[in-house]
Amino acid sequence: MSEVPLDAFKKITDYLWEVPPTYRKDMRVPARVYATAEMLEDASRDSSFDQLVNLATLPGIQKYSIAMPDVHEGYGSPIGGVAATDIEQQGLISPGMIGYDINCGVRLLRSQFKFSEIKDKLADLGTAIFRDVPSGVGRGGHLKLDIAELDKVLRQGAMAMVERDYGTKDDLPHLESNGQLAQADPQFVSDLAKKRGSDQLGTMGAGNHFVEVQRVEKLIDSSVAEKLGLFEDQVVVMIHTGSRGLGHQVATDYIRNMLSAMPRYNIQLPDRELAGVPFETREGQQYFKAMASAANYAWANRQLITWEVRQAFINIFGVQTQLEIVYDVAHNIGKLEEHQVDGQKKKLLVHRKGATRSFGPGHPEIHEDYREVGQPVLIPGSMGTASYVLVGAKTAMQESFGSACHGAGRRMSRHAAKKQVRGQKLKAELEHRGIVIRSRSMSGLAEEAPLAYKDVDNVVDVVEAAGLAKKVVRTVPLAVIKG
Amino acid sequence: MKDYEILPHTADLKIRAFGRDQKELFAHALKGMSSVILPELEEPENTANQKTAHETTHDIDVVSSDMTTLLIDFLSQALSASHAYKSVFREVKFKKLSETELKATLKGQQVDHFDKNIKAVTYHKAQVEKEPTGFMATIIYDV
Repeated sequence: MSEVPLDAFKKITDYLWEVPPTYRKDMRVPARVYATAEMLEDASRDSSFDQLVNLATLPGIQKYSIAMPDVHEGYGSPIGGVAATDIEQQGLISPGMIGYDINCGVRLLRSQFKFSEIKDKLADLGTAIFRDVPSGVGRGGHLKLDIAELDKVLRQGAMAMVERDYGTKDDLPHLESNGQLAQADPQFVSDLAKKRGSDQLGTMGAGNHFVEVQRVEKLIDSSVAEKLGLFEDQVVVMIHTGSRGLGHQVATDYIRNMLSAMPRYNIQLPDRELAGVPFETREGQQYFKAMASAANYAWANRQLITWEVRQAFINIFGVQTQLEIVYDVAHNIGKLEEHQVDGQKKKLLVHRKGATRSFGPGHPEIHEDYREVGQPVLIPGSMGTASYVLVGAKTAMQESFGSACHGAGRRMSRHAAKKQVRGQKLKAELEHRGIVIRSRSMSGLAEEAPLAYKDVDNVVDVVEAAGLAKKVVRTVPLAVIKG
Repeated sequence: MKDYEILPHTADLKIRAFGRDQKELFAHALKGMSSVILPELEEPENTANQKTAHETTHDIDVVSSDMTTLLIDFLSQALSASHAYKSVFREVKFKKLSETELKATLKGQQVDHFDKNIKAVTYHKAQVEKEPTGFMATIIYDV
C-alpha cells in the first residue's frame, strides 16, 4: 500500500497527476503520473508512488520524476519510471534507476507473409523457434566467446554480430542508437560479468522474456503503418530480452561501488538502491561506460536471436523468407540527450526504467526512413493479449523527456498469479484460442498469466491521450515462445 | 521459528529470513534464495542423490559498511557464483563473521539448469532487525 495518499495528487489533466514538492521536504521537483483516476487508485495499492517520490529527491533532477501508466513497484525506482538529471549541474547517474537488466528491450521484425499463408505451419514454426532460440535459466547459447571476442561485442553492439555474418549492415539503421552506444568501454566491465556473458549471446532467458510470432490485427494509422512497412494480417515477430547475466552483474557491481562512493560526494538518498554519484565523476563515468557496454551486449543478443529466428523461418518456409527489422527499443537504459528545460537547451542523462524512448517527428536522432512519422515505439502486452506499435509524438519531449510506457505493467505478484492460475490450464486455454505455446516452465507461464498484468489497451490509450506517442497498429499473438 | 518465508511482491521476489544469531540468519537467507533458484534440490531424495555426484564449493570474502549491507553483498556474491559456475549453493561455513566482514565457503551442487532466474539481490528496504527471538531480514530480489 502506498504511503503517499491519493489526495496528495493534484489533477493536471484527465491523464496526468502531480504530487507537489511540498509533500516531502527532500523532494527537489514534483512527482508526476500518467494515468486515469481509476489507474491511479489501482497503482496506489503497492509502493509505486513512494518510490516515485523518492526519485524526485535525486540531485540534479529536472522538471519532475515521472511514472508511466504501466507503473508498478520496483525495488528503488518504480518500474515505468523516468528521471532526467542535469549533468552540468552535478546531476546524478544512478545504476538502480536504469535497472539490472540493462537494455532490456523489444525488437520487431516484419515478414512478407500474411497469416493465411503460414497458419498451417504455425505449430511447426513455434517448435522451430523454440529449438533455435536457446531459453530457460542457467542454459547457455550456441556461441561461446573468449575475452577478446566479448570485448568486441561490448564495444560494437549489434555490429559485432553483423561482422560475424549474423545479419547485414541493413539491420543496423532501424535500431535505437544503431544498436551501439559509442561511450562503451569494456575495461570497466568486471571479469565476473564477462564470464557470465561469455556463453549467453543469442539466448532469451526466462521470466517475462519471449519471442512471439504475431499478426497485425488492426491498422489504426494506415499511412504511418505503410511507412513502417506494416500491412493488415501481416506476420511479424516480437523479441523481448536484454543483457542477460552480464548486464545483471554490471549493475550489481556498480550499485555496490556507488554505495561506497556516495559519502565522498556528500550524497544522501532515501533508498540504497538509488545510490549514485554525479555523472561527471570518475565513478560516474566508469559506470556509464560499463552500462553502455552492457547495452551493446543486449543489442548484440537481440541481433543474434534475430538471426536464429530467421533460420527457423527459413527452415519452415524456405530461403525466400525475409524478416526485416522494423525497429528495436531499449526500456532500461540511461541516455545522454538534449532537452529544453525552462526555455534552455540542457544536456541531460535520461534514466528510463521500464520506459521507452518516444521521439517525435523531425527529431534528428531518428533514421531518415522514419523521421517524418516519428520513432517507432514497441509495446508488448501481457502473454496472450495484444501488443502495439506506436510512433513518438512531438509533445512527448516537453511532457516526459520523449518517453512512453514499456508494456502492460504487472498488477499482481508472481506468487499470487501462481495461486490463481495453473500453467498447464493456461496453456490449454491459449491453445484453444489458436495460440501456439512453447515454454520450458509451466510455473513460469502461470506467473506471466494475463490476469497478472494491467490492460495494455488502457495503458496505450493513456499514452496517446497524454501526447506521448500515437498508435499505429495493434497486433495479436499467434505463437508464444518462452524460457 | 521457521528459517525463511516467501512474501508477495508485485513483480519480483521477497524473502524474509530468520535466525537465532547472525550466522543462522545469513545461512537461512542463503537457503531461502537457493530454494527458489532450484526447488527440487530441497527434496530429501534429490539432495541425497545430488550430494556426492555434483558437489561443489566456492570461497567468498566480503567487506561491507554494516550488517545489512553485508547480508546483501553476501547473497549477491553467492548468486553471482551460482550463475558463473552453474551451481546452487544451499549451505555456508563461516571462517570469519562480524557485522562488517565475512570469509566463508559456500557448499552446493553443480546443476544443468535453474528453475527461476534471480537477476539480482537488491538493497531495497533491506534491514536486519533484532527481535527478542533473534534476527530477521526481508530481502527483495529482481527476477
